[in-house]
Parts: sequence; structure tokens; C-alpha cells
Amino acid sequence: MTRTAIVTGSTSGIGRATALRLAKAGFHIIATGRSMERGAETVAQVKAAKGSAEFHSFDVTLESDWAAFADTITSAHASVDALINSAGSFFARPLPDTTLEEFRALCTADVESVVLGTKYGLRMMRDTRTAGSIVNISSLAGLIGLEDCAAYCAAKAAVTHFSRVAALEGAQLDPKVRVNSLNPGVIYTEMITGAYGDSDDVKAFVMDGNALQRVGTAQDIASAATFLASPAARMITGTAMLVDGGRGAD
Amino acid sequence: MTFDVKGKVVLITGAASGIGAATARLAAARGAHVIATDLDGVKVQGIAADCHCIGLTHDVTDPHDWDNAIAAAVHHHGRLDALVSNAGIVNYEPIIDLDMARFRKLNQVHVEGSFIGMQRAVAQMRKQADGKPATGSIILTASVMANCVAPGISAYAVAKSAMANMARAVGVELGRKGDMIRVNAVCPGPTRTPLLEGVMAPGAMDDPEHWKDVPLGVPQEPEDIAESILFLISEESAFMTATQLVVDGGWSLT
Repeated sequence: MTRTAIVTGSTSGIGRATALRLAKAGFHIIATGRSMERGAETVAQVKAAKGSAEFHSFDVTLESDWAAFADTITSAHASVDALINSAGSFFARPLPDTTLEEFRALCTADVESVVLGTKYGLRMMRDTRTAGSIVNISSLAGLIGLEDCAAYCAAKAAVTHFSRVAALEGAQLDPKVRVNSLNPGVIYTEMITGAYGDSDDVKAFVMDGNALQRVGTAQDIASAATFLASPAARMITGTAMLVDGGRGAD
Repeated sequence: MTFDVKGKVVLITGAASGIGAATARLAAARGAHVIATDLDGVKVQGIAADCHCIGLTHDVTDPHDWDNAIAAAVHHHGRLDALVSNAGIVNYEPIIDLDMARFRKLNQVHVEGSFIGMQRAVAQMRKQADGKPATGSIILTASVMANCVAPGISAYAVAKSAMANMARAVGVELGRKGDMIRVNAVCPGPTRTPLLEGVMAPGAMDDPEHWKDVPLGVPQEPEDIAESILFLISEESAFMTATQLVVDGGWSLT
């Protein structure tokens, strides 16, 4: 039976790379995102690599969208084996200049999307009786501080700890569902270049901050997400898996 | 779905049983060149015969044995790509009864053993790098006891937390010095190994009751840890260093 993996935010960056890596591992990819055009590009890339994929456009911050999506998926597929909650947002701004509206918007994009994704992920896995794996893309910033990023750090800390509790609840289902957070360091994706710009200076900052002194790539995170989704990680649940080039260690 | 370790030259200590033996078998089955070592030379020869690899007697507290093990890797396979510092012992003893000799022994095997091994492995990885940044992956088998405790486990917890933080310190130091050698700790929760079975009532680990504190509720097998170790050896974890990977079925969550 074909295993299926849902990847949110798969229209760019870590989400798209994860969709491609999971497809290589044999999963049928259910890609989601807002942009139809970019979703079609992800599907085309998966198919070009001899994988199979479909795309669903919806807003991961709306419960009604998740509910409709879950109905569609559980009617069309016999199992939901993996869910990677990758959709997210970022901004850097000193706290005195950050408005409550901006803070709330980021919490909606980064926390509520994951809470809803995990809720409906657990439902889809329960309803299809799948011993699935949910991977919530958090951040190193959910474990240590990053200046000018109070909202992002708070949101990602929430995602990290929420995932631990979700792991306990997933373990109460039959069959049991695993839930982990995956905490990347600074990864050179559009999320970072969108906030800081795409320049050699930004690249140098990204490299110098981690011990390995190289740019972390979306592929690095895609590999770890695929590991967590795979039977190789059968006993891993409730973990915050750090993939940061050693950035958080010193 | 596996993560490629084909052709990697991997030295695994404590490979006569449990996690070390499972790692040796799995790595060899996936095409790695394994050097399996253990204090119990006879038993490790048996594992080596099973996986068509080299088996060596190795006391990890003895620097000469380390030189010998690394020389064997270089002699047979020309290089060393990964070290799995896995040899370990366990001790349950209330602190007020704790014998200093046993306390020191725990630290010698886990901490000093890993320390000597890392020094030797890094020296070899730099030597074979030919002027380019040295590459390689070092994995220390620590424990969830690096970050949590249980009564009677103090000496073991001290040794394992030292190992976990040593992986972090060495990982940062090597990276900052321009090496691409990665150092990570894997932190298993209770695992069905002869080491742990040896300090429990006979058959205790076969009783489902024993695993009721583990949210995933099934026995954790040595192979489960071996899979994580192989991922850390593979190039797919190339951006991971100075981390602790917890594999415990959720045991440390509550």
C-alpha cells in the first residue's frame, strides 16, 4: 500500500524540499500551500523525480479549511502516514517597535497553524487507523533567544512544547501516532532572504553563526524530517530534533 | 527507506552485544565497513563473523587499544569515517553506599573512554583529509539519564551527562577550528539490552508492565537506537553537530 505524506507550506523552502525528499522515499505527496501556481511547480518537481503528488490549496490558519481538507483526504486515501507542518512565517523587529497585531499575526501563522495541523493530523491518522508520524517544523529560536525576534521565539517555543504534549496524546491513540518537533537553525530559504535580504552579508551571518560554518539548506531539514517520518524513528516521539550546524551549542 | 552509509568505515565500541552489536549488524548489512570492538574479544569475534567485518578486543580505557583499533581501520580500509563510542557499563547504587572505585570506573569507561577515542579518531580524520577540511562523524552513546534521573542512577547519570555535553563541546570546537567533523550524542531511553537486563529481575523486560511508563508502550530494541546512529553517520545529517538525539518512546516527557 502506498504511504502518503501531507506537507504544508510545500510551495517553497523547507516544505518543498521535504516534499521532494519524502517522494524519493516512496511517499505519495499531498502538498499544501496558498499559491496554486507554486503548488503546481512543487507537484511538477516531484513528478519529474518520478514521484507522485497532488496539491491542495487552503489556509492552514482556518479551522474550517482544515476540516474540509481532512474530509477530502480521508475519503480519497486509505492512510495518512506522515504530516509535516512546515507552513510558517517570520519577522525581525525590535520589541519596542512591534505591535500587538504583528505579534498576534505571527502566533496565528506559526502556532495556530501547527495546533490545527496537529489536531486534524491526529484525526486523519485516527480515522484511517494509521500509526503515523507528525513533524512540526519549529526552530532553534524556540529553544534559545534571537535578538529582535521576540514574537518568533515565543511562537516557536510554543510549537516545540506543544509538540511534546501532542506526543503524549498521540500515544493514547490506537494505533499510536508519533509527534516531534524539528528545530532548524538558520536555513537559507526565502523566509530568511525575505526578511533580511539576499546578499553576501546575510549569507556570511548565516554561516558564521554556526559551528560548521556553512549555510544550512532546506535539504538538510528535509532529510531530518524524512528520518522522523520513517520507521527508522519508530521509537522517537516528543523529541525536539535540532539541526542547526551547532549554532545553538555555544 | 534508509539513509546511506555504504562504503563508510565505521569503528563501533561495545559491539559484542546490545546497541553496539545492533549497530554493527545494521551498518554492515547496509554496506559500511565495520570494525567491531569490545572488551569481550571472543563475543565480538562472533558478531564480526556474522557481519563479515573485523572484530577486535578493546578496552576503551586503554589508549593503546584505541591506537590498535584505529590502525586496524586504516590498515584494512584505508581510512576512518565514523566512530561510534558506545561501550558502557551500568550501576544502580544509592549515593550513600556508592563506592568511589565504582564511581570512577563508570566515568573511566564512558567519559575517559570517549575522550581518548575522540582524540584518536579526530587525529586520524585530519590526517587522511589531505590538507582539506577533515570530515567524519562521531557519535557518543549517552542516555536520557544525561538530562533526567532515577533513584540509584547517580554515577551513571554523571557519566552520561558528561558524555552528552562533551559531544556538544567537541562538536563546537571542531567546527570552529575549520573541521567538518560532526559530533553528536544519541540519548536512548530504557532499551532491551543485555546490559539493562543484567541489572533487572530475569524476564522483567519481557513483561509489558515494564514498558507502561513509556508512552509508545512497546519495548525499545537495540535496533531502534542503531537506526538513529546510522542516520547520524550518513551524509543526510551533515548539518547536525553538537546535538543530543533523544530516542526513548516518549519516556522522558513526563
